[in-house]
Amino acid sequence: MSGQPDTTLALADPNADEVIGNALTVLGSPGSFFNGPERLAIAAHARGVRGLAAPTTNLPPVIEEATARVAVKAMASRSEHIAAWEGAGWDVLAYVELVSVVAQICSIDSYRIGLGAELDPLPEPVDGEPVLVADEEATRSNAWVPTVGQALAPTALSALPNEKASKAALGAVWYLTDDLIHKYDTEPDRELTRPQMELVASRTSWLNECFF
Amino acid sequence: MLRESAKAQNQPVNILSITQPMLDPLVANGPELIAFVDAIALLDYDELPIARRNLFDAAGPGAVTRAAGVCANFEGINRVVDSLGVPVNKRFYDIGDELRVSVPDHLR
Repeated sequence: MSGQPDTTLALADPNADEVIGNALTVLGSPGSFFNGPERLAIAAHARGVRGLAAPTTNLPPVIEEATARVAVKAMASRSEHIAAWEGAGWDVLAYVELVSVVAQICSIDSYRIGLGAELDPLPEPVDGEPVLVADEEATRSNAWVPTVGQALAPTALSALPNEKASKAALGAVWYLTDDLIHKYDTEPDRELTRPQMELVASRTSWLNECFF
Repeated sequence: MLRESAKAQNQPVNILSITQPMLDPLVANGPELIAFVDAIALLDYDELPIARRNLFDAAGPGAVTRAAGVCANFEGINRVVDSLGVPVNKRFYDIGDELRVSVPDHLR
């Protein structure tokens, strides 16, 4: 469902493959609120609603709905969705975890699709119960969810350090490390120049109706 | 960041090409990059092999991999910031004016 595989036009990137492998392992491991099978079910549902895999329907409706929204129409998200999530008895940080899982599997899948590769199989789940790993300094400031300090793109997941780290590792290998993002005159020695990368970033955001 | 990076490198850029891809971005291989991104983000499997081939011919296999990576990264970031209600930084409002789009109220 990701087109005819053909990776002959792309340069292999073993570093990216390693980081993706690590990210997938973490996706299948217990998080702060969801266990491994639950996180993988969320990832599988995100794939399903994007048309990249068979649809899945084994999640509670509130999770299914949130997963679908984040995967295919994140721009339609509103604070009322968070209020409804909490109203249904879920912790707001569980929503942050869900968003992290969906964002990571969607980005990994988009990468493979771009390269012309098969999608990575979802891993076998790692046993264990969720263990809350949250930053105690996280509070609601300028976003709908708690963050450490002001909410910006790099800090959006900061209430859950493990999720932030996993997402940041993907960003560093695909795009730029955080320390280079605002050093506009620095060429990061990539296969594309900085303006070329920013053109890709800007067009992607435009297509996603995102202002970042 | 496109405008900032181009300015820092004395590289001309037509920022309107972001919303009007028929315009030349003035960035090397810009049209090929935009077509490739469009095919990935829109899951256009008919256009994707063509766009990938055109980018490969214009800039090589490393460009294909890097462009896919940057696009993938923002496929993730966009979902995170929009789903969690991260407001748009006020210093970017003028870019919205330039592109003739306004920042939605819920992200101000």
